Order: sequence, then structure tokens, then C-alpha cells
Amino acid sequence: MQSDEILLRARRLDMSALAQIHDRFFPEVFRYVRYRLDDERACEDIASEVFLRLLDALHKRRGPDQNLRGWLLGTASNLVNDHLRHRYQHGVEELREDEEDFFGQDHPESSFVDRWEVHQVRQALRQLTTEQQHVLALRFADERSLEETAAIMEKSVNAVKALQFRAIASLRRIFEEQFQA
Amino acid sequence: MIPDPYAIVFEACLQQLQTGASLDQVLKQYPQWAGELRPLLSAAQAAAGLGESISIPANAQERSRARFMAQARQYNRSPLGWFTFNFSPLKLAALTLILVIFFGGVSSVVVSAQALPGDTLYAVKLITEQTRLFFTKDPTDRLKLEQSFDQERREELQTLIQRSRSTPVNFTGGLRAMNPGEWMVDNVRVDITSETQVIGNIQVGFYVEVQGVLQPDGKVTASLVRDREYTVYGTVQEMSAERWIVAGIIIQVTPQTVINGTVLPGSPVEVNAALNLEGVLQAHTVTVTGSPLVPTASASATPTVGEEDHHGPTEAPTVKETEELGGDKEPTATQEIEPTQTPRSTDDDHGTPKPTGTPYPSSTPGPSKTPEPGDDDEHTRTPGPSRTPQPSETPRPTSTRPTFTPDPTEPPEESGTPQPSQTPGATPTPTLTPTRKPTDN
Repeated sequence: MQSDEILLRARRLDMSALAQIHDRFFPEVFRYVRYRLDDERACEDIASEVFLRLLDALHKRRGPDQNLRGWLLGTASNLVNDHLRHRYQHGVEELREDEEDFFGQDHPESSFVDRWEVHQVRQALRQLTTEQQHVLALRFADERSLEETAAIMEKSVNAVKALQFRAIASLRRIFEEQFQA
Repeated sequence: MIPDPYAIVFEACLQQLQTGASLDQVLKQYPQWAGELRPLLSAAQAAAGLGESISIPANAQERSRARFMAQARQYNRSPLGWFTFNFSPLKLAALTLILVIFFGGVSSVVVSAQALPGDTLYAVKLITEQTRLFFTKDPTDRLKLEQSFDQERREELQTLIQRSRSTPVNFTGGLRAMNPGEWMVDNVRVDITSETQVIGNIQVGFYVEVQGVLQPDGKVTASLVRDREYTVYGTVQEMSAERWIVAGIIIQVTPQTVINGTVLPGSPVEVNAALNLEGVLQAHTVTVTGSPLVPTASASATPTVGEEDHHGPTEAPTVKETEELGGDKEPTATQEIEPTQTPRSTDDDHGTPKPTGTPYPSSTPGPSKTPEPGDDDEHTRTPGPSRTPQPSETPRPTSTRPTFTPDPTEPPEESGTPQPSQTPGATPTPTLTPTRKPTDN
């Protein structure tokens, strides 16, 4: 079933269509958020909030007419940005992965060192501009192609290509600075 | 925008890496660029590796889905369509005040009680009703009020039919017959066309909500028909095989009833139920909204109901005298919880609640969230701080962690950033090679 058709039904608050949307897009949204945040619990909350926002928008006869994925991931980006801003303003330290035991998972698949490296990369990522973080999350967390990323970001493919290049170049520079420190 | 030549070559290399090629293999194709590309592609590999490391926590999707669908049901249940209110008391009071001032005072509210659909003051009437409903918290009173408003809609419709008026209407009535193209809702003929949306499990013998246009001949051309759901919030007081008592109200539970969570006597629940013509509520969904209140008395019977058991315990405790919907009796003391049964405290979720069940800021979604400026564009608006999950609110894990744990700092400060555990020259952490997963869409 096409996204447009599901979205059309969802706009009428069709329960089946809404369930399909959640089932289909939740993993993408969660991965997007998780790519940018260390705190797994906050990620789950934010991913969930994205869908509640969608519901709220549809209920008010607003929300996306098309490009549902772009709307969801755009909303996720805004929520992540706000979360980071709020944390930064209030000096709240984010839970690191090694402290995240609230789901009862011991992360048997990865060593502490691996997780620490992941944490370091994520820290470096957050020093990029929000747009740069957005493009990398779309490309590498959700594994969207350049064309898909361009559609989601409502930019041209070339613009996305250039943005991604600048993001990676900045990331490289941050890594180098980290190692020189 | 014309990208930098580096960006074009870089993207070509990146795509090859994503299909499994090694960094050296890729760079061999661009020897003149290799010096510049190597550190960039290494950084890209680290960025891709971050994506590879992500896994979705068990049950996260189910938890979110349950929250999402519960909210969807809440919205879907609204009998007034576009006249749905999720206002805070302050907003509601402000809106009422504005309307009262605008329409000329309290007398307008009184006069509006006689208003019919299509009349200027009809909006005031609906808002007044919604305000009353908003401030009515007792489940029984709330149901009575909702039913009285439904009755009001039916009477309005009859008046409109007598006056041969043609106007959009929205009413609730008992579905008596479902003939092809024409249904009977109470004594009103409702045209069902190819344009009519039919939502939910519509059955003869149950109340349905109809939205449509009243024609001069007294028929209603329906644009939407859905089962009329009522919501009961409260504590499960008694449970038998087919009948539960929630907040003093008898709820019929069927094999089709969807139960979210483990229900015990004392559990706070939200019940969405259809009303049949006999005045009995038949549960569509029952959602546990919190931990059960623990009764003090003990008993041998310990009924539990979960996803797999839609019928409840087979051992039926005696149902106390309670108020049937539509009955005249007032709630009595017997409607209170009778702690005759003790919730089982075993290895089930309810026995030892997991941390995930308690401290979620978004566990109360939807209406409670902070209103945002710029509501016209939900895509760009940012959430209010009150909705933003607070890491500080989360329970700290009790498990030990390595004593050598570095202590990272928040961006953008870098001074405290610890050194990664490896030092691969100019290009740190490029250890993961991404492999592209098949994508949909």
C-alpha cells in the first residue's frame, strides 16, 4: 500500500492506517533519534512523541499532505534539537550508554570500549550544525539514499551532497582536534 | 548548487564503501585524491559505524504503539468531529469568557440552549456542553452527561426534521437496521453512499454516531458513521468471566475485547466501550493505566487477565449491586473497591514493576502537553520544555560500571573530552565498515 493512500486514511483517523504508519516508521524515527542522542530512554520518549505529534496534527486537520517520512523525521529533528538545547541550558548531563541499564540490557553484543567509541563519535557529531547532524543521521542511521535524503530535506541532491561533504569534513576536523587535545 | 569536486568523488567512494569495499580498494581508484580522501572516508566510516551500532530496545515499539493507539482512540471517539476539545482548564475558561463577551453575556448561553444546528448560537451550546463535560470527573456522572448530550442531539434532529430544514448534523442513535444503501438509526433513515466513511465494528443493536447532512425529506445523507464509544476511567472493582465493574459501572467483556496490560482487581484502567440498546457497555479495549491498588485483605482467588486471556478469571466473584447504564439508581457504597482478592505477586510485570513503566514524561501524551506557539505548522514547532524527557528524572542504573569510565562533557566544550582508546594517526575511529541494508519505499 502506498504511503499517500495510508496518509489519506490516517487523515480520517482510520485506526488501521494509523497503526500501519506507526509500525512502519517507528524504527526509522527511533534510529534517527538514537543516532543523535546517547540517552536511550530519551530516544524512546522522543520517538514516541513524534507519533503523538502526528496524531495531534491529523486531528486538527493539519499535518503532512505528502512526504510523511519527511514530516516525521523533521519533527524528530526538532524534538532532538530542543532536547539538546534544554539539556544544555539546564546543564543536565545526558546518560551515557554505559549507565543505561534501565531496559535491563547488558549490551552483550558490544564491549565497553566499543560503546565508548560510539559515545565519542556521537559527542563529536553533536558539535556539527543541526543541519549537518540531520543529513548524517538520515544517511547513516536510516540509510537513506541521496535522493531520499534530498526529498526528506526538501533540497536538491547536489545540495545534500555538498552538505554531507561539509559535515564529514567537520567531523574529521573534530576527531583530529580530539586526538591532539 | 554545484558541489565541490571533492564532494562528488567522496560520494562515489562512500557508495562503494557502503557496498562492502575496503578503504584501500576504494582509494586505489583515485590515487591522486587518496591523501585527501582517506581521513574523510575514515570519518565517514566512523559516522556510518554509529548508525550500525543502533539497536531498538525490546518492546520500545510496542510501548509507543500502545500510547499512540490509545491517543488515536481518544481522538476518534470524539462525537463532535471538528468540535473536539483538548483544552487546558485555563484555555477553556478563556474561550468561554471570550464567547460570552462576544455573544453578549450569560443570557446568550441560556438562549443557546434552544439553538439548533445551523443557528448562530449553536457553537455556544456545544462549547457549553463540552465545558460541563470537561469539569465532570466522576465516571458515572460523565457517562450520564454524555448520554444526555446524545439525547439532546436526537431531539435537535427531530425538531429539524419537523421544520424540514436541511443542514449538517451530527447525532448518535441506536442502529436498528442495515439495509443496502439505507440504515435506520433510531427512526431516522440514513443514506449510506460510496462516499460514506464507515469506521469501526458497526453492529445492529449498538449506538452509532452519524455525521452527515439532513435533507428536507427527513433523511440524513451520511458522510461518516462510526460506533459510538464511551470511555470509562477508573479502578477495576470486580472481575468475573464476562462482566467487570469499573468505577461502579458494569462493563461487558467479550472475547473480542482487546486488553492492554495485565488487569487485576484494583488496577486503574481506561475502558473504551460501545453501548448497546439494552444500556450495557461492551468493552472494545481495556488499557491498564497504572499499578493496581493493593487490597489489604487476602483471598485465595487471584484472577489475572492479560493479552492471552480476554475473558478474565473463570471464578466469578459476586457482582455487587451496581448501576446499570441508563438506570435511575445512584451509586452506592458497594461501588467502592471491595478488597476481596489479592493481586498475584509473582514473576509477572505487575508484581515487580519495571523501571520503564513509571518515570516516562510521555506516558501522559496528547492533551497534557504544553501548547506551542505557531500551531499552524507542527512540522517546525518545537516541543515545550515540559514535554522534553529529562535524563535527571530517570532512575539511575544500579549496575556497576567500570572504574575507568571516562567522564565526557557536554558539547560544545571540548576541553574535558577524553581521549578515545585508539590513536589511528590522523583518522580516528574508522573501524566499522557499513553495509547498506535494503530499504523500502
